[in-house]
Amino acid sequence: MTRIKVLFFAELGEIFGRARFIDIKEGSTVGEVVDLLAAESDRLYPKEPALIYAVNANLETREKKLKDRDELALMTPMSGG
Amino acid sequence: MSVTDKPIALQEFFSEPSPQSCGAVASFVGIVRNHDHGRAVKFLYYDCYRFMAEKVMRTIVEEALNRWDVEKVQVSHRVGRLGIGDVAVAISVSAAHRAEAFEACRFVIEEIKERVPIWKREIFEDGTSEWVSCAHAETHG
Repeated sequence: MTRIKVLFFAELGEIFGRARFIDIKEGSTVGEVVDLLAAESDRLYPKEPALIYAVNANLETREKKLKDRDELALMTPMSGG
Repeated sequence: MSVTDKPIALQEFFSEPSPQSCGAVASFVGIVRNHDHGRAVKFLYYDCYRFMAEKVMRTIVEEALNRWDVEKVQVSHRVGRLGIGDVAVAISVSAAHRAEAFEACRFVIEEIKERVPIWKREIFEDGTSEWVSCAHAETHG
């Protein structure tokens, strides 16, 4: 089993909470975690085309494979400044 | 280079001396305005992935230093609750000449808006609120 930490911000933080640990199968991808979370809230998939993913603070794609203790951030498009 | 939940004191921010080889300092200050798309704004709340935000801001500063002949770049972005008129972001770019300073300063603010994981929530006078999405963030100050 692989345990990762998932971080949520802004609107996603309101839906899923700020952070949580999730146990996944070894070699699971970012996309598979997104699918898992989408089962919890129907508000995730409509945002998905614009979602930005970071693993350990580096931008990644849905295809990125996750390792034990990785920190995955699910982010909507940024709006700082 | 910082992300802070404390007010940005401009006098202090701009008090850092520039290298003596610099003849130009270009700056940008983003402040919270009281309206957006015709709606009265009461205050803003900025959420932030702080670790990554500081990392990406450092990268943007390095890119500016590599791409233009500029010698010093300072950036500070505030997060948390900000009132109307508060400073949200301050940028200062020192260079030998003004053209490079202006261009690099513009680059830094545009890249911050696009790439730094900070999100703005607008709380309106009518009691409603919404997270600003990138799609219309480009028209923001």
